[in-house]
Amino acid sequence: MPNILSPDSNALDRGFQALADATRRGVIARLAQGEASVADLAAPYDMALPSFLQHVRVLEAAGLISTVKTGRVRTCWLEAQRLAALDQWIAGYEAAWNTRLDRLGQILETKGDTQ
Amino acid sequence: MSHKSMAHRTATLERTYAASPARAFHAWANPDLRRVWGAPSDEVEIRNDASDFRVGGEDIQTCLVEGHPVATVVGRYHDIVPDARIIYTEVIRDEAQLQGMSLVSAEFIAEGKGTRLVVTLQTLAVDGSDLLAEAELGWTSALDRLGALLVTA
Repeated sequence: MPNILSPDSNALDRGFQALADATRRGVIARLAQGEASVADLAAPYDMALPSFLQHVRVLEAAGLISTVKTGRVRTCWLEAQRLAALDQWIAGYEAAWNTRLDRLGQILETKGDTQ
Repeated sequence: MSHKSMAHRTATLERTYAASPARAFHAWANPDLRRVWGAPSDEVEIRNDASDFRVGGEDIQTCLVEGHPVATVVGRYHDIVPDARIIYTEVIRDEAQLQGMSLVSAEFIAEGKGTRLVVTLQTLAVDGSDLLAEAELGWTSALDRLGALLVTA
């Protein structure tokens, strides 16, 4: 999955190109508040829906957002936010293991040297 | 909310203990000892619902915060070499859904009279509404500020 944080410079280029537009930056800012439908995202803009969808496609191709269509509604969300949240879960899991191994060391120290 | 995002990461943790590999291994094999050192943080207490330390065996632990269950961890042992190696998987769920899982490979390496313990965690986190609701708290305000910055830029 393309990711703006990826060291892959093509992904970075796509990310920066995607953000080099006021409408697309507005979409990102709105999605930072939570997921939204394309219709909701388009409402503040004086733009035909097909033109607005082009912007959504650019953001999606850059990996900044993901969309899914359910019935007639296409819902968009900020992908970077989800990935950041998942990375944070793993960081917490790894931190828990560090705590465990330290506590294991304390137990091994306090219980003498024979099994 | 759809469920399509995943994140993967591998981490290797190392410790050197004065205790022998046999003693360090015993602390993993014995469910009562494991309950003591295995809590993910000082606020969490572990309840052993099932313990079966053998290849194919299943451990079920419930994480309790102030007596309330917050997560269950189901472990399954895939390879056990006494005093040397334990390979197992653990699957972490909250009451609503899968949060993540990890392949845990623990090596007990004799070093002098002590043990060098090498634990490799190959972890997958999957998105779910509750997980994201919690984790996003810390990120939403930062992203709001980023969004505001981008709008005015």
